[in-house]
Amino acid sequence: MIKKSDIMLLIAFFGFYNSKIKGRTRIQKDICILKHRDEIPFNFKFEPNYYGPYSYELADTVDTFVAAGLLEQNITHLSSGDRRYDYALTEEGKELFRKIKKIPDLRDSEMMTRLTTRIKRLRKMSIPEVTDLAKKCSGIPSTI
Amino acid sequence: MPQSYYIPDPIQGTIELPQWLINIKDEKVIRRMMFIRQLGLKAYMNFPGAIHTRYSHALGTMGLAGKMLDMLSKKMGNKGKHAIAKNLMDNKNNVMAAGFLHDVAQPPFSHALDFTLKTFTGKSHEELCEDIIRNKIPSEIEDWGITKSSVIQLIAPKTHSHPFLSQIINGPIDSDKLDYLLRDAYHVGLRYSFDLDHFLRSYTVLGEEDELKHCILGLDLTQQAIVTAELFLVIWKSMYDLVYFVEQSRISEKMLEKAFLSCKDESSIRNMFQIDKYAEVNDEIMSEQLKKMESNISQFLAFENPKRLYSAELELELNKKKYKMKPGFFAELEDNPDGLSDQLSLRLAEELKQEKYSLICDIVKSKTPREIYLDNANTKKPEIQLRTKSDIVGALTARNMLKVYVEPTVLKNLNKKHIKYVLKTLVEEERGDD
Repeated sequence: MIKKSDIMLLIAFFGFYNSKIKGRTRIQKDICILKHRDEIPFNFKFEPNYYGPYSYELADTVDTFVAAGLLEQNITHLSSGDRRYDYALTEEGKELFRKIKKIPDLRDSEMMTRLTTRIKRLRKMSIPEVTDLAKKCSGIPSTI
Repeated sequence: MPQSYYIPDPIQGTIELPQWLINIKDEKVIRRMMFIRQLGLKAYMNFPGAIHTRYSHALGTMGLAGKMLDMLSKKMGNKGKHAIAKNLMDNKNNVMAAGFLHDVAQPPFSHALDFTLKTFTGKSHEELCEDIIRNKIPSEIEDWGITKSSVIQLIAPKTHSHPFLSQIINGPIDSDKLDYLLRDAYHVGLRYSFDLDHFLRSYTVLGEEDELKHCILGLDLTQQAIVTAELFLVIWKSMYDLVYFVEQSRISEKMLEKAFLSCKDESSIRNMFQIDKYAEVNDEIMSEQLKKMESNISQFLAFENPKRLYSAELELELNKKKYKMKPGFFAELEDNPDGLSDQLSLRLAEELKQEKYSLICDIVKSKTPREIYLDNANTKKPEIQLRTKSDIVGALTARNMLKVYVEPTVLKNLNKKHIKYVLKTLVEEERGDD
């Protein structure tokens, strides 16, 4: 179930990232690590997947943000012939981020400080590294 | 000696009924699907040819799932992945049963009553499916190696331990979607051409044999697979725009929903949603029951008399440039769009001092396709998504529209600009308190 807090934290994630996020995979793995290792209270449910944990709820929410004009999606054509999907907050998204940062319960919270420092670390990691880490730290249990 | 039983089907060709189905096919709860139209009210409004039922879709999904399992098992065996091949065959009856039973709890009038069902029972039809399989499907199906708990886990979103099996029934390229898109297109009269067998030849299971719980259903990394998947997604997208969201049908469905919500305190209607009764009610029984209601709800039954149909007066895109939506609004938009539009309907009528449900708000969400993965076995890439290989997939973007349908006599007393202004204040309200 997606809560209001998920929406605020996801906007904060894009805001603190502070530059365009290269590829949808990066979003999935980063949020999985932030949830499962760094205990940022995201409710997005992740499923086991050959390619590492994946959340349909998160993917749908990102698409809703694009549809609502909070996130801009740009498709970059790589020299390999592949297309990469990049995401950054729009002006409207940044405005919402500024409002979220001012919410009294969040403004000076330890959790928001942790979110910013952990995002800084994640930004330095490559896609294979975050994929590997997401697999390790998610510990998604089998349901049977 | 077991009896053979074949059903001719316009989409899947001849379907042979498995023995377990021959034994339960005459149960009331199974027969019920023959009396629920697959496209609900669309048959009465825009598409008179769409009189096909949930039963034919159930058979088609089962038949196609069986075909997928046979093809995948042979292919994985040829690749030397014998554990996966064996697992597919060992679970064939379970997966086919899940294909047949995945819609057994669909409400009468199909998706038109999705929100009504949730309001009356607190459950979606997928969740009610578990109750019906546990309590109403004869346990003798377990004599054929089917276990009810496995079937339930294959149907319920992402609860099965082996995702590649459940994704045959519930995933981005599942047998359910492939069957309903082609079946619905055929019956509404849209002559799409799509070669299912050709597409199925591109299917594969991605992952390592020693980690079956991480294996997923995907496609070969070939141009044939990419182009055929693009064609499938274009049909998927166009069916939503041309059929599933078509305006007159959509308005009549929302009006029917409001008829039920208007008499939700009447026990005779509530009883229809008790599991014992629910497992027997169909389109006709529900329709007759509605007409017996003391509440005056006939004005909502536009599918019987289209002269009552509300008119679509406003169509607004839910975009941040136009509306300053708050995080609580987005959470509800994502989690419960039908509930959110019902709240907006109630508030809008209240603010405009009009009769309850004389104005109906409707949020129409067009989605982007779910991630489809391609086989990375012969590459050094960590993962390959179809969208990275296709310009078409990237062009299929989401849109959220808010529409307002108005009862014709009410419209005479209202100014559209004023409705728009009140709606804006409601959309921009703070909501949610977690």
